Amino acid sequence: MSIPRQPTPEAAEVRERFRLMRAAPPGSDQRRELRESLATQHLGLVRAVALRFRDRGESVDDLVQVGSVGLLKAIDRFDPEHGAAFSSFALPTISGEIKRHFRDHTWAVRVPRRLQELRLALTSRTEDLRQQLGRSPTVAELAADLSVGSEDVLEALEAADAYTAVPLDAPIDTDGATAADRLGGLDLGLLRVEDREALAPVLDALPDRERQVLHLRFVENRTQSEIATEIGVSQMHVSRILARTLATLRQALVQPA
Amino acid sequence: MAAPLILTVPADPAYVVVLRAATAAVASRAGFGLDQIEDLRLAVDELAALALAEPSTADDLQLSLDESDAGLVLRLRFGGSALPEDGFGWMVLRSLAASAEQVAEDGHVTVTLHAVGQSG
Repeated sequence: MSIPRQPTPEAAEVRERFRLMRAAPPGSDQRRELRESLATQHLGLVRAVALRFRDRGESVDDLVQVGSVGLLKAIDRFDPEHGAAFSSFALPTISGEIKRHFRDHTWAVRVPRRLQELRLALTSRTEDLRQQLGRSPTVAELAADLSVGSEDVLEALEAADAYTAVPLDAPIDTDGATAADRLGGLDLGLLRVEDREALAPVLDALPDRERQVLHLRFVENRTQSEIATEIGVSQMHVSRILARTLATLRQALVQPA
Repeated sequence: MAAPLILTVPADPAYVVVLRAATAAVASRAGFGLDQIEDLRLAVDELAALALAEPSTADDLQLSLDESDAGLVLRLRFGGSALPEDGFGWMVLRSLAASAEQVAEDGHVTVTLHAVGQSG
């Protein structure tokens, strides 16, 4: 027999906000604001899960970003009328998202441990140096900072490419994202290109994040560093998203579905 | 400035990595920021993919990299006809480099990309 537990005042308040969010019309400002406030409030949860995976060769910030997708999915699916607390409901979704990230992003070829570690150090030092310098650091500056040779930095950059092995035919995950969730202003129709029609279905099928990065880089002409700051990931992550997305689009143009 | 670096590789996707690595090394020497180096690497990927998609690319790919005061001039020469300048690939090249031009003659195309390093 289970002992009924008295919900904490905080849990009751969270539950109440879930009720309000679900009652608000889809696409309304109120719903969006409640969703965001719930997400912000539970970011610590994502961070706690991300920390558990910190020894696996990804920066914690990037994992938090990945886990946040899981958090948003959990927020959209949580039913406040059912017993469990939101945090216990969300945890498996968040860690599932991070685990999937590791499943999809593995080293495609064997890369020496030394380079894997250097790539990780490079990712975080690039961000620090960028803030100090107010611009993207050069290879020489990074090499001096990390006490390695310029060739090592270049080698680690090349090695980073081996870390993008998302199968091109991987099913694109669209669940949890509704049309209302789509980020505004991503009109890739602005790309005045001849093959726009062939690209349209592929662009539509891209995950929101990748379409957003594409838009910021090619429509708004922002630098990789600016995009990294805007969406809250490392510049190397932006570079990888771009490389992967461009490869997907190229593939689609060569072999129309 | 020193003579340009010239590199000839077989028209095979397996060698794109060589072109990319050489470009990154020269851009790094020229003092480019990581942002710009990554953009150039993406541009080489895109350009090589366009070149290799040409049905008549039986010839080698020839890359030349020229450091200048104004930045870096990257040229890729391959067998084929002019690339469609209203296509997605060309748009990507134009965005990743400061400028993109091409000259097609005698069954070969030379695409020239200019990249500018950061100031300060």
